[in-house]
Amino acid sequence: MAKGRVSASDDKATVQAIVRSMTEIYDDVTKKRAPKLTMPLRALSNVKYDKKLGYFELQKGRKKRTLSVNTVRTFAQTLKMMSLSRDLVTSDDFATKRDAYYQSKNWGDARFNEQPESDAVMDDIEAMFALQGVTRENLRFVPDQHGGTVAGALTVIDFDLESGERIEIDCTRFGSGAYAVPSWVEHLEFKTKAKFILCIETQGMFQRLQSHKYWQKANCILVSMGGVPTRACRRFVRRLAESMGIPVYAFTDCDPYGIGNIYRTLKVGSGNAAHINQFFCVPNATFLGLMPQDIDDYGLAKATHPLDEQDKKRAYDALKNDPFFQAYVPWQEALKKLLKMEVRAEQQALSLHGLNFVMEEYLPEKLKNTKKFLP
Amino acid sequence: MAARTKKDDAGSAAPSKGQIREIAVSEFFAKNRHLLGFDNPAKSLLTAVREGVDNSLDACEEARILPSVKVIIEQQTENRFNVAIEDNGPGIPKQHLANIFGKLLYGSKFHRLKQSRGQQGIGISAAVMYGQMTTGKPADVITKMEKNRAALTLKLQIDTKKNAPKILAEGELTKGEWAERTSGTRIAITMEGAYKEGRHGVLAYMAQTALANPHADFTVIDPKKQVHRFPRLVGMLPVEAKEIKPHPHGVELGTFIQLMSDAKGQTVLQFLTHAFSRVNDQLAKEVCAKANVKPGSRAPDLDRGYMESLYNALQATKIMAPPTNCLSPMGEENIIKSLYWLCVQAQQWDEEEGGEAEGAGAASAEAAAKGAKGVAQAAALAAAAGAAKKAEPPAKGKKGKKGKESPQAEFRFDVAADEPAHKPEEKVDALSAVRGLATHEDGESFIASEEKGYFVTAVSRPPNVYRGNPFQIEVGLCYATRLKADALISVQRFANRVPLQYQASACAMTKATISAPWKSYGLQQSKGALPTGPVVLMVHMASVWVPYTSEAKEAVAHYDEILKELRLAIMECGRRLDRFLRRKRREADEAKKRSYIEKYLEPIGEALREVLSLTQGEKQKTLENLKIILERTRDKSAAPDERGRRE
Repeated sequence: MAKGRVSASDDKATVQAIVRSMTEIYDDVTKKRAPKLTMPLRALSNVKYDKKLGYFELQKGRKKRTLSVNTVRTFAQTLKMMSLSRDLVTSDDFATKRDAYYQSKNWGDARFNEQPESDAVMDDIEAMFALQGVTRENLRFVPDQHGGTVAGALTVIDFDLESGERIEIDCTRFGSGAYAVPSWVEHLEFKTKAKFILCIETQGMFQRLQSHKYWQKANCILVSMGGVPTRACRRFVRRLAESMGIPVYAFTDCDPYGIGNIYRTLKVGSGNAAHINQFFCVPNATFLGLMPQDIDDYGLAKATHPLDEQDKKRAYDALKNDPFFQAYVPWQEALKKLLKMEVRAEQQALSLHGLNFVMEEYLPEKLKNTKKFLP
Repeated sequence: MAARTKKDDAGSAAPSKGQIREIAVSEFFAKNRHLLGFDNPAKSLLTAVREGVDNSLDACEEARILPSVKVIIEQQTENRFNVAIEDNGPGIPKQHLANIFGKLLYGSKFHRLKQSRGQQGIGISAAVMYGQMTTGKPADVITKMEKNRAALTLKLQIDTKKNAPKILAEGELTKGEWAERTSGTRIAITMEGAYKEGRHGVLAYMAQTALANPHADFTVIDPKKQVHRFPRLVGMLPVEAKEIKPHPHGVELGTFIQLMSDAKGQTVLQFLTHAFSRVNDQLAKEVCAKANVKPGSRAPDLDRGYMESLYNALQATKIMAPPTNCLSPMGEENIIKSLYWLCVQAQQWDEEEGGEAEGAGAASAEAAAKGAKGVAQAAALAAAAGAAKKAEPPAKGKKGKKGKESPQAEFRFDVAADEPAHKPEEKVDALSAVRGLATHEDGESFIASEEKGYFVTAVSRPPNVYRGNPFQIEVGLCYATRLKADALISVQRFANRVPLQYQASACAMTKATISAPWKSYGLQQSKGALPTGPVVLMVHMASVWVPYTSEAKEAVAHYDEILKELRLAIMECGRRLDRFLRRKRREADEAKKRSYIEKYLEPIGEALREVLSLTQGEKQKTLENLKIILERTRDKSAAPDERGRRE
């Protein structure tokens, strides 16, 4: 079923890469040298932000996993996972993270006890091979989380999985539901006359806008990110925006998580996925709201909550360590303002002024002046 | 103490004129028997045993005889017991016989400065008096001094009004057991009492006494006629403590004046050099010069003011520390043997039938171990807080009720497992079982087995001085996984080899134990409390004069010098324990790592085989190589700990 996604030549390259890594390890062992696995260091400290490039770029930091008593278990699991990947390629199949976790139950003592363990090993392998130009999809690993939901003036063109027939999916025709972004989006094509894409943090706000067909009123596409957007969601929005040439506006809670994690990851990617940020982010996204200033401008003080310790820590971390925020003075000011106010406001705080205030007043007013959006 | 109390009493009687008369010390104690430890039936019985055993041990040691002491307790009615203490000591000359047992404050120990168990010579005669008061029965004494002479027998009471013995019957024994014996003494007292089991019981006391007297052999026959033996572990008597003269810095002004007034026919110079240790002619002259006293003047005739300035001059002069040959410490090796035997060995045998005596290593130990089983258990049995619980399961319940004393005082070698039946009659060669037991490394004595989970060590501090009195601190520490791990450690306190059973919290030994940083030695410790762990800590203070907090002789006073020595010894034991525990942990880690490696080699080999299509032979070779590589890294990862151990 994976047909059409990965080319035969890619498959060959993938197998070669795996065999190459394994051979290096085997050679080391034969010479009684401790074998090593080298992978990029996936952390904020190892990314650089360049405004022109538009995403977190992976730097030269590398993590070496040398075989030792302390690493022997992970080492064994990594090799077994690579072997699994090779099997998937040769049998033209794929495995979700959950699948791989269950596959590991056949590995005897090297099996994973919890899925986060297997996810981490998978991310390591992915990053390791990313250095050789082999993607996760090439390795036949797919995420099992869904990539957000979409509603609005958009037609997505997909293919029937069995017949290969072209299918046009009209995102206006999901009634009270919405279109779910698949975990693999590279093959999708789009048709739309919408003027912009609105990426919304919470499912609650998405529901409100969708149930009132706000997309019709504003001629836009609504995307519910459901927290930090998944890779598929980021990639979907990126491809849609670039192929259709329309802007992307983010609409999140006004708190360090909404700004520092959700919006930042949507726009420039994350430290953890540093090796793939190039493709899995939306550099032209801008921030519609809620801005800290909005709390004052829209009289939301009554509907705020105090910042807790973790919120504050997040904000300070962003100011201190996050290359994205360090690149934009307006963002630093916004975060500092938030810290000074010591409050946070959720998107739905706007309901303070009436349930439809957000559609009737807030969004229209904001959209009149998109230049004022934060970068 | 006796003298002081008497004076007080006379003072308070003064106002009622006409009835003023001297009170015999025995009369006073007859009315105030709690002062001597006869405050309740159970304690009275124990006190009688204690006094008898202390006397026996002191007598044997002074005569350089390896002590064998037998305690027989017979129950006559519900609350009437006959307590007999029998030893192989030198016997007592006929002229002293009646006075020793029948006159209070008669003894050889009060007027000298020498390390001994008893101090006042009050104990055993008080027991006789107590028996006589509660039952009206006289005490029975048998004593024999030479093999070829007949043993003397004596029935005696105390005339409390006169503080004098009253002999009811006298005789000689020419037949039976006593005819065969070389020497020895037996005292039997019929008294009201209660036989208690548990931490303040007779057996617990005997186990403690055995712990501090490994050169002695103890047998206890309890009211159920069960025999408990605590075998001799050391074949040598402790070094004999020499009698010394008081050190000038340990004498109070009143005593000084008294001594001086008594120094008939002596000049000041003679008095100073004769009455005290470490005072020579030169020093005495120096002191006289300072005090403006002529060295040649007659000592008793000196004006009181001069006596005082002489005293002050003496205190202000730097004088060499007193000689320490008046002390007889237990010795590190003996402490280790004792702790090992009572806390580790006895219990190991419960577990493994005739198991080898780990650490002893010698074949003889193994052989002895088999024979020793029953005896060792008897020891463990007595030592357990619930004591003798084998025969009576409810004893465990009893333990909970004893809430009066702080739990720190508990004599506790608690074992989690139930004790199996024991055969007390079996002979044991404990002596050879513990011979050559301790290992000596870098000046540290210990025995240890990470595998079996025990570690025993001991520290004897060099002698030191408080207020002119020489003393020496010894601490033994036994860690054994078979002891209770979730209870406070057990602190066994001893002064001149006598167990201190009460007032643990008031004792300097407990205070010093609590003040040690046990957390950094690998035990848990709440603030201001003893640490928690499977540990028995034995603390011994040897001194010519042990400073008790009260006349009850139950807790050692908090002198800075004593606390400091205690802390140093306890902390050294703690550091050694820490190293042992770290070594033990490391070995457990090692074992874990080894199995860890084995576990994950196979999947690595398998993954390589799958992807690289290796043959079984190649895979096998790979596994071997992987093992070599990992063993190498394992050694490296162990290295930092090794460095940590040596610090």
